[in-house]
Amino acid sequence: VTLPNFLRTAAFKLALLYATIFGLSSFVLFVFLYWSITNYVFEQTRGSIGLEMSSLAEEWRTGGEKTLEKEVNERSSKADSVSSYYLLQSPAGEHVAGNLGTLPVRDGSFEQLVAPLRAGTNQPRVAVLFEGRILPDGWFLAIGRDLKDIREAYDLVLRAFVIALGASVALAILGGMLMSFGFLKRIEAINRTSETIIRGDLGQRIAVLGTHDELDRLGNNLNRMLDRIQSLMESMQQVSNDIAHDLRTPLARLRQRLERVRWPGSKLADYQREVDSAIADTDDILATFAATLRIAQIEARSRVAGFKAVCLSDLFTTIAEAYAPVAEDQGQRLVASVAAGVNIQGDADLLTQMLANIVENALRHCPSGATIDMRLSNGPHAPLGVVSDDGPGIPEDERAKVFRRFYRLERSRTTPGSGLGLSLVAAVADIHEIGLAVRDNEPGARFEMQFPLRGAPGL
Amino acid sequence: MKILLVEDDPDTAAYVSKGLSESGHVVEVAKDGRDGLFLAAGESHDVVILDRMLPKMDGIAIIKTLRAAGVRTPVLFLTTLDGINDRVEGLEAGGDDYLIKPFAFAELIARVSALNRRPPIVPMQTVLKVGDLEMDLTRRTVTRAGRRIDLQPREFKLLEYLVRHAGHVVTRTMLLENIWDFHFDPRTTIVETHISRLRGKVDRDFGVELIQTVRGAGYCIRDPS
Repeated sequence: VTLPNFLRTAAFKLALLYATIFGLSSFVLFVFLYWSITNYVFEQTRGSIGLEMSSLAEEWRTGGEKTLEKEVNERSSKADSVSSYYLLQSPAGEHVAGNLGTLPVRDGSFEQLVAPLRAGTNQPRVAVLFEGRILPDGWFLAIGRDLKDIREAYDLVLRAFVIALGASVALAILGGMLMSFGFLKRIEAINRTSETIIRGDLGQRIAVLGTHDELDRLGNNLNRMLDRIQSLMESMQQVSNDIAHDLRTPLARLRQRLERVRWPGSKLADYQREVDSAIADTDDILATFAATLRIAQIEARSRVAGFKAVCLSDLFTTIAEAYAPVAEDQGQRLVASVAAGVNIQGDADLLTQMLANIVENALRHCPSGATIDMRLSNGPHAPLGVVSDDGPGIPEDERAKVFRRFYRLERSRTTPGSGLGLSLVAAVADIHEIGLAVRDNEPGARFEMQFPLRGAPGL
Repeated sequence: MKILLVEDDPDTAAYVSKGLSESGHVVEVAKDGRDGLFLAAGESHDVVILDRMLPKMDGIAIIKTLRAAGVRTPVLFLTTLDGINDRVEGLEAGGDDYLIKPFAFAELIARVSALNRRPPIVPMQTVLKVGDLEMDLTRRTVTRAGRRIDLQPREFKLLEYLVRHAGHVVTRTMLLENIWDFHFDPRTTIVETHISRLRGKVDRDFGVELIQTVRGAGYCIRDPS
């Protein structure tokens, strides 16, 4: 990662944002503290000047100018170490006592630059906070404190805060970066996995830490999306394979037929017969083609969004009515027992075709004399549909395979049928979340449809 | 009957228009969606046959425009789009029938005739007659030569459909769609079986056969005399 790139990363931007917010809040805190501390120190100083003023005023009241002068001189001589300043001026404005030259006469608190008198020489001027008092008979007393110490204290506080602020902003940036990097490293991992997948390795999945946070949820959702895409792609692949495999044979047969009819010496009646057969062959091919595509479309679930309430009772009754005469003509019997008012959410056209295919499967594979039994019951939890027969049944190890595309039992190779009827059943059942099972009916085959609770699929 | 065929593929257009002409119809062909819409808007045709995917303007857009403009000419979609939602989409847009390419020509002829005969406003006829067969739709009774025939509800519906299209061919697919609401091709002989049952009740004891099989096309009910 080069520097300009680094400045563009979300990690850096997030860290910067953290640091800015943290720095700003620290600054506000500092301003407030600085103001409080300096104000406190200043008030303390003024307070101590005030106390001294009271005690000197008391001296004056009890002992007059002489006592005051003595006291001021005494305090002035000790004042060097504490940076205190004293001044007593006569009503004429002359310096009487203290370690300062004269000052303008004024009552109350003021700041003034003064040059202290020390050992008779002029010292550099310093900023001093004074309190002055004009005594009743015109004498003027001033007490001051060097502001240098206060200023130094201020500087100290300021320096401490600047250092602390700098350190905390640096920490904020560092911490923010660490946090962001930890967080963004996982996003970066997702990015890397995505790139691998884009390059063609559809089997890759995003690592999920099991922390159940947003990133885990994102990862899980992406993985589910990938599963879906993969199964769709596999299904597409399957369709292409199926078409290549199962349409080639009838197409080859059609071609042979056309070639044969082209041979010289055929009569018109032969032509017509062969062309009729060729049309029939083509229709079969088209039907297989349509069924294959239809299954693929169903598996793509484009219809799930349009699910509506479907009355299974009506559907079972319609199918039973439609196929009972067909069964009868083949010497079979189709009986139905249908509970009333059973509804699910689904696609009526597809459900009809599903049930019709199951029944037709039974009709086709059962011999004359067989009984086919259709049942729809409300079940303990959800509706249950059963189509059972007492025909030859399906061997146990073949039961799971009957729903595969183009799969046909060995003994059924000679009966007409594309081998797609039950694949379509499986596809329709799948999008409706119908639990489909083939069992032994002892004797015969038994197709069970465990329907979902009302409203369950597609939500 | 005057038919407008909107079809961009020249081979299909030639095949369909030749076949329809040979069956005694007058066919006008539009090669793209815009011409099709322009011609159909003239309302001078009895039936419009419309492809779904057309240059310049697709079939769905055409029919929506036509219906919005109040043109009520029956429209048959003739299309290779056989997706499970495509038929519903075509009919919901205002189409009257939907036929998927490739198709048997007899199927197309039968459906076109059925569309043309569909009156703009269905008159509430309560008694339908073919020869000496009478159907009372309110009482749900059928008599032939004055003799009462008992039919099950589905048989009644089947006969009613045939009688409503009396003199015209109805195909196996039309029956599957309209009587059983099956929009797929069952691999068994449902239609044949039910027609044969119906014949047993309606025709067998009366000498004259009203329900006739039209080879390679479907069935037709008509009075042969």
